[in-house]
Amino acid sequence: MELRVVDAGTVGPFRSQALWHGIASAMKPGDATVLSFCRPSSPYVGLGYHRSIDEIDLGACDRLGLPVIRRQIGGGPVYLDADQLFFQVTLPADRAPARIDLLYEMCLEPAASAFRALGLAVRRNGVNDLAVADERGNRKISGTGAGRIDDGVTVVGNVLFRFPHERMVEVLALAGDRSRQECLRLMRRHVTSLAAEGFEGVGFDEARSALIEAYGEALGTCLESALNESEEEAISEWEERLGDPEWLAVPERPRRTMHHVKISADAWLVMMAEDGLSVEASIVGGQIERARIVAPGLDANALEGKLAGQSVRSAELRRTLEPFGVTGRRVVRLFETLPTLA
Amino acid sequence: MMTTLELFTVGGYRLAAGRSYDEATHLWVETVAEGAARCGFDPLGSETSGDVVAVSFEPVGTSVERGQAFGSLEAAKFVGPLIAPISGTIRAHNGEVVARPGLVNQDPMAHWLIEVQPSRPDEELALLLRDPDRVRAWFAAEVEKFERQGAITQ
Repeated sequence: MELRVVDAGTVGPFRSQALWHGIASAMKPGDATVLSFCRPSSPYVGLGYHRSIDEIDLGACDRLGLPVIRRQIGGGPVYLDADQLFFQVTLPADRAPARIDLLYEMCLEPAASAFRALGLAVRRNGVNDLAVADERGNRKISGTGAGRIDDGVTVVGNVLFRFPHERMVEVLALAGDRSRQECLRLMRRHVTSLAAEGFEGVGFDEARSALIEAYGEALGTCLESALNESEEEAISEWEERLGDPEWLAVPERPRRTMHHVKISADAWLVMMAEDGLSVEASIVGGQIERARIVAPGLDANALEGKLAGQSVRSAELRRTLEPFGVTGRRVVRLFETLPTLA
Repeated sequence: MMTTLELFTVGGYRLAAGRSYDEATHLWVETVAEGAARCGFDPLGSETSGDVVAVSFEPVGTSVERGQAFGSLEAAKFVGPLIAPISGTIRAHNGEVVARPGLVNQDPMAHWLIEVQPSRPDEELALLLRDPDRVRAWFAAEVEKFERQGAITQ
């Protein structure tokens, strides 16, 4: 089987997203799988298809000159810049596995192999994280996502050569400095880069070659290729669509009592509020690592202390907070509103 | 309109009687009041989608054609289209599912996604499976196929 390899090189922010949207859109049953690459020429913020624009600090983006681009794959806000190499695998939908985790397995295991060929102990963590895994735990080194557009299915990923954690946190709409500091703490611990792992010598060409070799072994004989006419046309259409303010604004999401930042497959910062009670919790490996509770007239220290180390949504959590009466029960109820952290 | 759900089991999955099933999309269609029809996932459609974290639909009033997208679904950072099993005009969204998308996984037969006013009901409902024996045979074959592919675990 043939694997077309398309390298778009360094392109503008909108084109860097339009590239794979367009390749997927132009794909037809029976077409060869496409492995595409690009790098954005300047930084921007990406936003998942179903996420609210309210999750982004638009003032910070304006100040920093960062466009915000909604992508037709999932996940939350991400900071993207020229220190990242984007790679995408696009295949006809009728050849994609019926189950999403199998799709990720098929399309991300080669990327994990490529990282390992570069010398990093990377494995798939959870359904779709690529993480350095060692005695210090799991540290995400590639952001991924997937989607179906027309007859094409795409799995996207990036290689983080360097990652500015502070800038990533700066563009998120978080409730004050304490939340920002906690988010930064989690991000520094759970998101890494080639440079942070001591691989600053690895260049874009080396990473690209490792990916091509690994995907070639897994998916077919590589054939360097240019974009064809229908792909070019679809990419141009997507570039225009992605820049349309209406595309960015919709779909509107229902207001919820809970807001979360997914740092990695293992780490979340969740913020929940209801009727004057607010809870912010750092959840790592399914356990509450830290919690901050604010309510009028509440001395929260004891409650926060009891939450630390507790499993989320456990019967134990209900028992532990029972002595705190109505407030304890309200905190438990807020935790019970958490969706599956996946 | 209150309806009582009469269920039957095929390959360990519970399906509702009195509904039509689309072989291509794994969505069910139920005719409700005034000729309107509701659509939702069958259990295989729900399971292979993964843990659903978001759904969105085309606006009420939009006309959709059978085989075209009437919305999107997100699970594990995958966004995919929801494909209409019948043509019609969208009359309503299930706000409960929009607010709590995980309901699609918890009990797919009990949670509809959209309600449409079908534009070609006679022609298109006939394309779906409704006869209980045919539904059983088709669904059992699908369970076997998905098991072979490793797409479901029984």
